[in-house]
Amino acid sequence: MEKDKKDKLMVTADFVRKASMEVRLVKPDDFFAEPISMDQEQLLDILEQVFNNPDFADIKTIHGSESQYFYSSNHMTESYAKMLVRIEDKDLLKMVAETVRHESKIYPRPTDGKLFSTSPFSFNAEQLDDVVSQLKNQENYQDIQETRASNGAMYLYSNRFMTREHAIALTEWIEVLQHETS
Amino acid sequence: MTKVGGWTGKILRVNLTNGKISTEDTIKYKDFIGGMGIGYKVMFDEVPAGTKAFDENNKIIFGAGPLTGSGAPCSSRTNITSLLPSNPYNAVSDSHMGGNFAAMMKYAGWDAIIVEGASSKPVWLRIEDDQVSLEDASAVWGQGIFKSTAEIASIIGNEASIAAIGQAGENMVNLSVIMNGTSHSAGGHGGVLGSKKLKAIAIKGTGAVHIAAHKYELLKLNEYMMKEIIGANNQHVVPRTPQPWAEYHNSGSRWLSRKGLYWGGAETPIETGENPPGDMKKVGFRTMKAVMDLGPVAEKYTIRMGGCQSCPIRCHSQLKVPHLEKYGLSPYVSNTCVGFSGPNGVMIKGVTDQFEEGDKSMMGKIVGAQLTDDYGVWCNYGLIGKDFKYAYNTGILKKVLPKEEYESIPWDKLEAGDPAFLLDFYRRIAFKEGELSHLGDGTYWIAQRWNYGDDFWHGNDYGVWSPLGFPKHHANESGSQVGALISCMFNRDAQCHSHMNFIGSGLPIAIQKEIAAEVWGSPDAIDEPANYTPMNEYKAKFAKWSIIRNCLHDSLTLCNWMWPMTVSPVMARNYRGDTALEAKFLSLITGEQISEEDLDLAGERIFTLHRALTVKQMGTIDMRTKHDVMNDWVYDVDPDKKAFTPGTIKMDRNDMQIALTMFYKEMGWDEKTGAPTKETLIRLGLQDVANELESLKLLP
Repeated sequence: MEKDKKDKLMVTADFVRKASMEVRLVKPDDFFAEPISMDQEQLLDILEQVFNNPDFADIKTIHGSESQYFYSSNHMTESYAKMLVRIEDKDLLKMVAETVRHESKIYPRPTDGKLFSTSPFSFNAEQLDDVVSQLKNQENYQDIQETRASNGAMYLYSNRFMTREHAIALTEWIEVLQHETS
Repeated sequence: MTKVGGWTGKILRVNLTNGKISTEDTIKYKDFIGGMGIGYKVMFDEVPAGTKAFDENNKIIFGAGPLTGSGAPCSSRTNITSLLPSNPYNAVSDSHMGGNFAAMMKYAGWDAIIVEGASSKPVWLRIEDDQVSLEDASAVWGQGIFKSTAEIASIIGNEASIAAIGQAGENMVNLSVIMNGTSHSAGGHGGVLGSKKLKAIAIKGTGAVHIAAHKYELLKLNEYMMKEIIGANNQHVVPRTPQPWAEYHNSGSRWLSRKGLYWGGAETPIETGENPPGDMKKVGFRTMKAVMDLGPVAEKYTIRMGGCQSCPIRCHSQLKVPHLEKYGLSPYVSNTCVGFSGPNGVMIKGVTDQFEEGDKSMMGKIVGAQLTDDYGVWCNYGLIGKDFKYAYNTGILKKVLPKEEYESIPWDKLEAGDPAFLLDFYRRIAFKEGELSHLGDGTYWIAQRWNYGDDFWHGNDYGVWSPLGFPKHHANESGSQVGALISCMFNRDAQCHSHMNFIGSGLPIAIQKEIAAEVWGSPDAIDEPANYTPMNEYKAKFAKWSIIRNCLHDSLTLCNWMWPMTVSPVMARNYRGDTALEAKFLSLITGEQISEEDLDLAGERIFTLHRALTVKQMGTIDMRTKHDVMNDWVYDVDPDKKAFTPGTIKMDRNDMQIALTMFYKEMGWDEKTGAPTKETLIRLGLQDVANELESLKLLP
């Protein structure tokens, strides 16, 4: 019985780990389907044990706007998991704004528009233009501002964390000037 | 020298005037470690003040340190020391090259090669272990570096490492290089070899560097560094793009590898992929610099990333671009960083796409690199293009060039953005053809000759850092007063990356400030980029530490484009690097217990000796107003902004004087003049240097 329980913990944790290795988050619904096939009650019980067992300390949970998600910190950082959650939330404006605010706050730096064309965001140019244009019209996102480097590249910053002058200078440095030195 | 690990114990001295070849004991220079340290000591002891770079009395020293050839990561740097012809005082400077020359010199049994005198006819120096001879170079004199290297290799053997000059060096062009491996160049001293009629040094070494510790101890330390400490080129420790394993990313990072990015020109394209810390075998995939230096189009031409002996980073892009044959050039091209961008700086009207969409950046850079690498022309860290731009845009060229010469230059190609212009331009420079070729004299000399205006020196457009004619190189844009101080201290562009590697690591400012507090005593040692604060003593400590580590690396010899290991890519270490790693390697390799503090003291000794050499050559102790000077743009850029407000990198005149005073104090130099004091020279074991400066009345 004890062994069976331990196996279930291991299967659950490995399920999350495998998903993280494949750069996916796990939602509660994923545990209800094959191959795990738990019900709600079992899942709550198993998760409680996972989170209290140091052998599974890498199994983490993170909340999106509509769902809880699981990932393994052995294969995915919290910051990357947050990016995936923002994508799962399918609120592109919020995703761009939160990413920009995060970068303006911690580095600090303006965010290269090209970032959103790379994985995991993978926007096309039209989508990004559309998002930026919508941001300008939403009250919640008035702190998100645009700058342009001398080569035309578009950057975004949050004026909660950076002044416009600072963002303009760093945009030019990141996009143009730093490439003149090595 | 009693046999200890690391050093070979022998220095080769070659007198080209009388052909005498002799051996000396390295022990004499042990306090100066190797490389740069040996070079400075030889120059101070043996080259009289007032000697010019191309005088027979000048010497040139090729030096390596105890870590080179040992297997320590990023350790195959050759340090070349001599008088620098492009400097107005011909003051001492170093040029450095990677490749495998330094390691081969060690394997042949030599810590350094001192070249003195001048030959009456072209020669090359042949070294096969302890068999050393001067050979007739008449067959390769007049040839470019590529052909000369091949011809000499056909005589001594392909396994040899060959450092050669091209036509620019032979013709004593001030801006010329010495190069090994046909793309690893040391800029500035090619003409010194030319003045001595020494075309090349070719070395075949079959020995090994003795390691004092058991080999497993060294392997263990290597493994620690490779798994826990090392990042990508410039010790950038976060990837350029978001990756699941990484907490942070930075669009300026040289950790470029990612899923879907390939060495696309390989027979079977190789995906660079994601290479998190811990997997030693994949460190070499991280720095896929071809696309950073040359643009996305370079991916499909990249055969692989190459680099120096004993370096896992592989920052040297190796490409096959068949279009190069249309310019009469080899399709195989290899270089990195300013080796690509510097020569292309002459294309002042830009380059247009030549063969396919998006190839404009790549074509200009690879055509320029092939030409300058073969002729052996140096770009003065990109400044040759700025010198040319000023003369062209202001109409100076029309005035100073004879009409016939002016009309013979294919300006239409320049205006059209056709890199074929570079074929004509660099030939004139290398062969000293006509008045235009004086652009090869270097910034200071051409500005005097063609009477450049104040707007050249002091304008922000040209980036001339110093009235001595060298450009900014990780200056005030890199760490405010820290970068500015570092850029003032040498006799050419500062080749110091200790500070820049840290500032550019890609980590958030909060982590950087924590590390700054641990290493330099306060988080205030660094500012946010472009959001500066007034000078403080911790910035002076950071600047001093950066320079003395740089001097150490050029003496040990390690690559300062990677070292010091101030940060790490490992989240579990909270991104802390290991600043004692140089000392750990040196202790194992030499068998002597050497602390981080011991090494920093040696670095201070070496840098103070550099300062003493500068004082001696310039004939003044007034370093503050005659040497440590910045052009006005540093203070006057962004006229609508005040210094120390967000969004500007401008410096404040009074604050920089305070910065110099604090820095001199940290160094133990005279706080008024910036010259080394007698007390400091004695404290550093440089009594003989103090005596000579005293006899020359050059002590403060």
